Amino acid sequence: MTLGAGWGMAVLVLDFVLLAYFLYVGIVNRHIWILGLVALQVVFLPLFEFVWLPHGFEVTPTLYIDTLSVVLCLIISIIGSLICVYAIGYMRAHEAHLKLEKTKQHWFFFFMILFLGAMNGLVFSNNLLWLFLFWELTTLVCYQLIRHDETPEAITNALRALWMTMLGGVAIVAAMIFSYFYAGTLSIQELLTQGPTAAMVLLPLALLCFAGFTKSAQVPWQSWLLGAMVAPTPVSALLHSSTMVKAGVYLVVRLAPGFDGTVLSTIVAVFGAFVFMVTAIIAISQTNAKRLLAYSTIGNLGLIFCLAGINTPLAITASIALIIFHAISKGLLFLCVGTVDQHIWSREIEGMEGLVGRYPVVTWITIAGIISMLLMPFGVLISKWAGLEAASAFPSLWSIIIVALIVLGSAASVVFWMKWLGRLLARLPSTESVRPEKMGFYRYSVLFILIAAAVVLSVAIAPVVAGLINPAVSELGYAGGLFDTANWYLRSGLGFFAPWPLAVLVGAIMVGAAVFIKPRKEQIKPAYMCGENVELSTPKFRAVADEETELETGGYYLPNLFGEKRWNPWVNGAGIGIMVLLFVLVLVL
Amino acid sequence: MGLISASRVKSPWILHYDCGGCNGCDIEILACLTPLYDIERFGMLNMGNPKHADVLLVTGPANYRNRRVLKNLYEQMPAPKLVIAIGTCACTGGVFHNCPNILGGIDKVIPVDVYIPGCAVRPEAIIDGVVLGLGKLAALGK
Amino acid sequence: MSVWTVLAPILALILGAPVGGLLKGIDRKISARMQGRVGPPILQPFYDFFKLWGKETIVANKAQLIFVWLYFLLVVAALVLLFMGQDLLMTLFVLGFGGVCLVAGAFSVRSPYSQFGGYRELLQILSYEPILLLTAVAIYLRIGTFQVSSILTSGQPLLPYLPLAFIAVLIALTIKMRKSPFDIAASEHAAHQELVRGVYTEYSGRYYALIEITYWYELVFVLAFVALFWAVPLWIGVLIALACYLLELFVDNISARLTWRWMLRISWIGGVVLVLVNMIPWAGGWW
Repeated sequence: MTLGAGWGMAVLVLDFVLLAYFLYVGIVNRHIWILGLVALQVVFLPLFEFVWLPHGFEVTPTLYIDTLSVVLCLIISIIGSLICVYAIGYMRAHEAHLKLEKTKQHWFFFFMILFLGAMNGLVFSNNLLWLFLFWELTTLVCYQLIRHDETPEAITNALRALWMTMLGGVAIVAAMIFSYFYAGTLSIQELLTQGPTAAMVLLPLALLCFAGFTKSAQVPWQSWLLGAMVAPTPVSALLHSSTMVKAGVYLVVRLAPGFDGTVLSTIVAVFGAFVFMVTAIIAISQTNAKRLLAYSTIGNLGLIFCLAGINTPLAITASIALIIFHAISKGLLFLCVGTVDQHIWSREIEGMEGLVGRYPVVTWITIAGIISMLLMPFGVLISKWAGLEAASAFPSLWSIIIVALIVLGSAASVVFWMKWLGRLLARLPSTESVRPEKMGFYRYSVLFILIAAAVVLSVAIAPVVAGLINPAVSELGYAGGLFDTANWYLRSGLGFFAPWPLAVLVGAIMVGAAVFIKPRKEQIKPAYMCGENVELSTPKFRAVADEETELETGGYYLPNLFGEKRWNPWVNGAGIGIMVLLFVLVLVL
Repeated sequence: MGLISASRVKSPWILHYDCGGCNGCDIEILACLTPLYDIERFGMLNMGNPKHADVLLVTGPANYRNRRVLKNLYEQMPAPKLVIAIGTCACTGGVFHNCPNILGGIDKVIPVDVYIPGCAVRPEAIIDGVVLGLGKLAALGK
Repeated sequence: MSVWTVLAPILALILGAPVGGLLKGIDRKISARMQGRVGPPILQPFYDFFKLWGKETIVANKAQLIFVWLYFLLVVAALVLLFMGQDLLMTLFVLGFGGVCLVAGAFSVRSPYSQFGGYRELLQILSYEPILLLTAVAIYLRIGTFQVSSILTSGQPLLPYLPLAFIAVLIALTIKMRKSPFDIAASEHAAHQELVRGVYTEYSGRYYALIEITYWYELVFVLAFVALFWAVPLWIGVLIALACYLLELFVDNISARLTWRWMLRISWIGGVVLVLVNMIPWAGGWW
């Protein structure tokens, strides 16, 4: 779809309005990095637009709509709308808690809806200039929404998010310039048809991948996403798990056919797997639920990048499946944590001990969400299964390293998800029945819809693959090697997965056990505390001189072994090293 | 139910609790686990967990403090269960029976099925006593 | 052929428990003899099971019961899937779900020993899961598919080509079978009692019987996994699996328990690296 020159002018004007605003932000906050990055863009963008680009340069088509864009649009629009509905209930409680005199909700929802529009524009753009506008629009929204509560911490983290994602913006400008000079085009589709062996086409692709990495908070830029967790939960759910960070992975998946078989592809694959493993390991040490979810998000995005880098039809299928299912499950988990946060006013996992007894509905939904991220027969695990099989089939010696990183990361993620699940469940035996909590309509209805979606789409993953993902993969240009989805199974040349029989098995056991097992009151006996229990449900035991002592149970976080202090220095160093290596190799080869 | 009550006799798992005796009887109980006497050949395993145990072996006399713990452990054991008082102190209070803090034998706190006197009890006597109790365990289940 | 593809999983379902129980009984007998004792009769695990089944039901909460049924039925499902010749990765993920349910059940009770046991079990999963998954990948690299049925029809045994992976699987086998030096989570030998009974502490009676029978099925699963290393002809694989079982008993009786840090180190730096090195000839299509 091509749009006329008038629209192009509007895009340009908006570009400069945005840059002016960023300049203002940089000046007001006296932030060197922001000022520097804006200056780079303010210099090169007009130079490119008005001096280098010939007048009347047309990019056709402006908007390119294929099944991949449609998939992303569905994710953005459906999940995004649900999160906005959730935010209605959430923000009301949020502002009541903060005892705000004047509501800021109108700004909040303005930016949320603007964001949905910008994301949709981003996934449909074919013209790099338009892509740049929508990309920077999402950066703006991200900055404003992180800053929403205007606390000093929020402002600092918003500024950090701004400059780190602006690095991506600068990269896009550079990519535009190189793309024009080396390939003579600003259209993504034309850039892809140049073929990876054409000289210097890899450089703009590499720069665009770099932009994707910053947007998706990969190492070494993960700190902006971790810091962004101070924002209200709908922001974390929408921007920082379901959608905005998906812009980065979307771009790389879109570009993947263009760098198939090159050194860029291999580096992206290894880098993504590396991020997946280290974030899973560091997540074990996290005590804050939102930070844990943030690390998990970064890791899963890394896995999507890895699969895009592997660049076989099976891998691309797995990456798109992971995009879909991760968006649903992670969005759900963030919304659950937000709801829990508004019940107990804490995001610490230790504060959530035994939450099933106090707020059963949201806690069981959270547990279901955790299971949907980790275990079969849910979509995220099926995507991981497909991805692992695709990585094994990667025709390169690097497949060994990639497979190792994925497997180690996968084992580490079992640990941190199960730890959190365990804390939620840990309760002393009790004969009192647990009553469901008071449920806010907007918040809880969205939670129910999302968990139902996760379950239904996971059981029906084969039709989803057949109807959405396989067409998307073949439209990207990959022939063959797709999943055969007969009988709602997933069959590839390498392996076989039966989602719905396993789902029926698990569902039958869970429902059957829940319905038919009814422990009677007299069957409930105390937990074993060496015979020193005070009473059945009292968390106390008698210790020295028969004094009643509080029972304290805690989690293993093992910060000395898995903590950020120990891992960050060399993880960040490795990340920077890989980025440098990426550009060196692309330029040299 | 013949299979289950036969299995009860063949697989009695032990919980060993010392109420505060001199440890003489405890050492003799642990001696039963050693290769010389090897009570595992009867299927007896020393589980440290009342929830897994069938037979509660108690040594030492009951006093005001440990009666609470003894009762707690006894109640955490699932039926059918057996209580065996090992040593004179557990049977009647033994040498300590007149002390101000001592209630007497453990039958002041929980029902006892088999009394094995001795100071300290010989491992052979312990094995004899437990085997005697097993017959009672099988009958309990019916 | 098609008779076996239907018969094998049914036989696994029915015979898995008796065979596993017998193996456990042999385990206890041989261990006892190694320690200079007489030891219980070989059928002892069955006596234990029926005794437990007849105990009064006492529970801590409902969630732990749901999780223990999931644990049991998913491990059985994994065994059946393995004998159906299904995708090895999928089967390992089903087994993994089962293992995770045991942890969840232990965590659901706020008893200190149960909680400790749960964390230790997670560390055990962290140790053995990479080895098993990577071995599945190594097998794929050797025969070109993840389907277990293809291992049986591939015409050549795996062991001569994947010896290092085999050694790594033995490390995972030790952890899975809960044998010293890696019996960290559950104090499987009653004598250990360091964490009382670790993950199993708050289970009793019928539900503990379920855990016992799940251990038997899991034993058959891991031994079948070992037997896959020489699937052509299969009887040699079975003999190798039984020989490894006896080796495990031997290692169990001569070694003390290591800390979880050592278990993690040995599994990751020893086991994982061994499998990765073994993959080198076949990744990237050299060989």
